Amino acid sequence: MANIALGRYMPLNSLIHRMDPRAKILSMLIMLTAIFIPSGFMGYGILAVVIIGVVLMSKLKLNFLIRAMKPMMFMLTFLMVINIFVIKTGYLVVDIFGFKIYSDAIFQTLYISVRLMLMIMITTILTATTKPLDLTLGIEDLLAPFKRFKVPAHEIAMMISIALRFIPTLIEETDRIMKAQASRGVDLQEGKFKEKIMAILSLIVPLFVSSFQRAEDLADAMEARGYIPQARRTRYKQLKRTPKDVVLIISSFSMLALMIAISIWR
Amino acid sequence: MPIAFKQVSYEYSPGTPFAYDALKNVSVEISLGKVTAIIGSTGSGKTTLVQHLNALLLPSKGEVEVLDRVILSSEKPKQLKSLRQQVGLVFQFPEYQLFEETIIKDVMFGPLNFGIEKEEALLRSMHALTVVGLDETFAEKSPLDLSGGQKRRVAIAGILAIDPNVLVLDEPTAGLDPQGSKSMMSLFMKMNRDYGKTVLIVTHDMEHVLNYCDEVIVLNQGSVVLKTDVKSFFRDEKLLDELNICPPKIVSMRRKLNDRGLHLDEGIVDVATLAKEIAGRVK
Amino acid sequence: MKQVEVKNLRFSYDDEVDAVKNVSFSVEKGTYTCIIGHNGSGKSTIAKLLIGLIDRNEGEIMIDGIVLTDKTIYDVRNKIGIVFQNPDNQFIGSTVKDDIAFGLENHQVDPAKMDEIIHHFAKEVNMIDYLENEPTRLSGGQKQRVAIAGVLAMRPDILILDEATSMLDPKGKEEVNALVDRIHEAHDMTIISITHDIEEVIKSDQVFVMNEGEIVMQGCPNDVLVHADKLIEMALDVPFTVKVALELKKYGIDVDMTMDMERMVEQLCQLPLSK
Repeated sequence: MANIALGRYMPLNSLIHRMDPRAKILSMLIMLTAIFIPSGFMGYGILAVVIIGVVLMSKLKLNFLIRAMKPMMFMLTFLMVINIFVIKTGYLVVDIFGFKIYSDAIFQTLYISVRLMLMIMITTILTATTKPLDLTLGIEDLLAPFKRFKVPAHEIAMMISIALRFIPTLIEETDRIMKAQASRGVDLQEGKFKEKIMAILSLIVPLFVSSFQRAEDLADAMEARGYIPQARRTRYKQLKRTPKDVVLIISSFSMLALMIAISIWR
Repeated sequence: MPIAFKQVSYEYSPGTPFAYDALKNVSVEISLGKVTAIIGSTGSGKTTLVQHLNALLLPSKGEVEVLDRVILSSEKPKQLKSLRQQVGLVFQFPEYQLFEETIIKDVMFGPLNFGIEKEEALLRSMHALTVVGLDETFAEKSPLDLSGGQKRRVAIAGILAIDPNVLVLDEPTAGLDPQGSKSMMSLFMKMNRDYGKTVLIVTHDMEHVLNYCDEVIVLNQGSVVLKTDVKSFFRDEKLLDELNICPPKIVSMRRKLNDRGLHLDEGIVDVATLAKEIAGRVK
Repeated sequence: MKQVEVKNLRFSYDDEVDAVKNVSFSVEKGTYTCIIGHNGSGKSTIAKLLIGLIDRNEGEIMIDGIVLTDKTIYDVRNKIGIVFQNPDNQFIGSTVKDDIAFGLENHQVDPAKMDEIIHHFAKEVNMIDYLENEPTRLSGGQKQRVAIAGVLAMRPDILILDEATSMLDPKGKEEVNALVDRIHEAHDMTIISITHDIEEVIKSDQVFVMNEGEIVMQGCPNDVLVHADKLIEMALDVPFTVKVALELKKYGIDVDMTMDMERMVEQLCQLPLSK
């Protein structure tokens, strides 16, 4: 659990950590768009430098980011192999016992790889520097204008924050159920296929049942405390916009503009 | 061969900022064939202690002897399963572990996991259900149709059907109403008196300790403070005060009457005997 | 003044068996009422009916003179605060202060004023040092105290406790019971406590004993709890002193039925005993 780098919050105190989540979410979206503009290796080079700069500003270890990209490595290698077989355009790079590898195969894979890596870096920076709850608040505020289009911004945010609140509780409960079933002879390591299925059922069913009960109790408690889903309510946690956040957004837009310019110029 | 903890320590989350010593150098023997209460305030290590008995937890240091097996800190004991067949552990709020379609299937789950043949498992399960006070009409019902108290009894039947020699119960009466509590405790005493099982009960309820248990082990902040028989335990006023334990009502009353000079015997542990004694003294 | 009035209440979960059958009772303002009964007697159902979480089949519920209907349900809920049995399943916020804030948010309190209110009630329940704590770092008793703070913050007139201490260890029970007593005194709050704890019942102003969906006994604890045989029949606890008095009666010794141990000891010492 502790080793999953992708999506995990790192409690550090950097400039980026302190920024308003709304600004960070928006910047991330803008940068993601910038990554998809076909600005060639020059464009990606600039983007990579900028993004690594942000990583350094956020005091995240490069090591951490590399771990975040590990899951992709397998897929990219696989992609490289497929492309080498399928793409036979461009100039000949090497000829191994009659098997020809062409440049386009390599460059296309690299292209995709670089895009993916930049995407992962940007999203990891967001989740690593923003507490899940602050992210939720940010999402709620950003979705708010869409309420007129019937997007239930507040309800979505409420669901996410309750889910987040219960993750540690659910983990504890899973542990308890596992131990209880282990006491009844459940052994996840050994056993025939059917036994393993029963073993998994003996974990999942109780979790589901207790989660449903929990949901019912929570709904009662929320209603009893005056919660009405569609009604207006105020919010304890307020997000404050600062000049730094505006700078962040403007910088992101500039990068986007730059990428567009480069792609047109090509 | 008894059950013994030999200088056992247990640390949660070692090497992290959350590292915590739940058990500190615990050495204690648990008598076979008796009903032993394990008491202590929340956080004293009671649950951690009992989870060593069927190797759900392995000691960080020291060793645990359970029946004919020794559980060490370093090695992973092989054949954990057979240990878990001999030491049945019932968790707190065990009703949450039910998952099968019917009650009889759920009770049979344990025995089947331990390699007991289906017919035998069925027989044992039906018997276990009767022992906990649920008749045949319950067998085909869904566990979800039952009340909390009934579910708990099904969960306990599930462990009884495994027929362990040692029965360990972690706060088995938590959340039950007074009647439910009493019948649960009577059941455990029956397991000991009629079936010869060694019973260990983690509990907060001093009335239960007095009325149903033979011995008591007191834990405080990860260490065993005391192990003694129940009668002696409740005789020692100073000790109870020191341990911040609220004595059973009968003990309080006996004490108050003795403070007024009545010289009541400290062996008086129930209302009937108290009344008889007082009635005997009325001129 | 009758703050809660219930007339001929009937409710069934499944339209086959009545969980609550023809229940009528009233609760005076500022009093401490206990409702006891075996599990399944209908006591928790009453709590949910009183705040309209479930809809009665028949009968009338009146809170502070307002009849509970679909239209008045929110007004009625504003007057009542309820604390449920499971400490985890009513803790909504991610931290103590977030949870107390939840009710304030629902009532559209100005966010600028929330901190002060949260601090005030956290102090009242002795959780002021735990404002930033997450629920997984709290004991059951602490979580229940936070629940009480959250409920108090909405300034109800009536506090309903639905077996709020059933799942707690003795320390937690003590903390919560002491807190409820303090609140009862300090705010002159009407308390309706659904409980198994006979000690709590002894201290209350009136007790309703429920059995199979009906109120079978009611009155002040001293009058109700002496009927040991009836209580035992209904699988309920009998106060210790009552047990002593009844045992002594078997030997022809009559003592006053009292709930208080000190008084019982007094009486026993007054008996002509040979030392």
